[in-house]
Amino acid sequence: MLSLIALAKLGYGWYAQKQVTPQKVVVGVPKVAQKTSSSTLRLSDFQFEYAVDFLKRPTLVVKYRLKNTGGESAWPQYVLDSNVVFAQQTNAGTTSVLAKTDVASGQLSFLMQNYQENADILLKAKESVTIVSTYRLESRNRPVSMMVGKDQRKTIKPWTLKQVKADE
Amino acid sequence: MSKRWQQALISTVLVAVLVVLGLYLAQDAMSAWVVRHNTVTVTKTTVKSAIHKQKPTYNFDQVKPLSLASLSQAAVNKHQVAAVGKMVIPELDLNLPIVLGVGNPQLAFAAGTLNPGQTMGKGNYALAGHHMANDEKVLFGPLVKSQVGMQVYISDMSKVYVYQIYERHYIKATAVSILNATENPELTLVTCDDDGTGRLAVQARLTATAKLSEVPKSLQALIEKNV
Repeated sequence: MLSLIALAKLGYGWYAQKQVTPQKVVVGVPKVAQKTSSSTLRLSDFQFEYAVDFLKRPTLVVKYRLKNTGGESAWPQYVLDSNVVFAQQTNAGTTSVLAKTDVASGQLSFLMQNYQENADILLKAKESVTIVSTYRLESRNRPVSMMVGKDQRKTIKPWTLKQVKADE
Repeated sequence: MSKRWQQALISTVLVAVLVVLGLYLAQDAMSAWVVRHNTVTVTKTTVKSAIHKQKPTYNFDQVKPLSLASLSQAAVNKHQVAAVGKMVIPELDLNLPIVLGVGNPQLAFAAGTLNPGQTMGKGNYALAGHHMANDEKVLFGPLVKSQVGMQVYISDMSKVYVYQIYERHYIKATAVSILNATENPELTLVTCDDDGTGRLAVQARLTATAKLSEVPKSLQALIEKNV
């Protein structure tokens, strides 16, 4: 019996890694550490796509716009990360806050690569910019919660997302 | 008689197979249990004597994933591990000793320093720690829940250094540039990815320094608590 259980455990682990089957999972609601966007910095126009990172792990590609109506420069990536949290359940059943990762080379178009570089360029006052940020997913099969402050603003279903294209 | 011996041999082999299979199925849970139930004491006295006690190794490439065997050995040799400080992230319920170097016995129950001679509150203070996928409450496991903006406190049991997280990023195992010296005081936390070929790096900036005796009592208690 133990042999069978051990084999089953091995087999299930292999199967789970290979399948792309959406799972209905309720994701815990982590509180965002920072307060919500200030009135001078506006995040908008969120769009999502799918890619794989340098370790061939599933990756969420987030494209968004940041507008700076205030008097000081802002670091776009920091603005996004301190106001928006992407959370997903792990294989162990806990909730993970997604962290940035680098997409494998050759996946993003030149335009998307430019948008990605914008994430680390200070945005001056009265300017707006399109930015791409990429986050490693725990799984392509489970939904991702997008949290702004305490509110869950959106549920993203990675298995429904289009794969990024190198030539757009 | 030979039939009896045969039966005894078969029974012994079966029991051995059952034990091995049982260990295989339970090893992850047992490893996490060993980590949770072994503490490294951190006090001002241990910190002062730690530097003379240890001959640390800083070769991160030689760090191996935790196994039940390595943990058991580390538990036996725990008295040889001396802590030089503490790291606490209250929002994540993370409370770890800091030890010198990244030897396998050191990282079994603590966070290890990645650069020789690094000093809290100065330059790039880099720490490494294991991440056990089956129990993300031990060692550096809670970092998967960390967020930009969270406070990280490290202490040498005399002073407390407060850092604020500004970036979380998966990096290649070979990306050693993250350990380079920085102009401003920073804290770099590096954990092991599930398959050992990638790492989660959490970077934070120093925002405040205070004496341990002057911080809020609740934080002081957390830092002085040996968990």
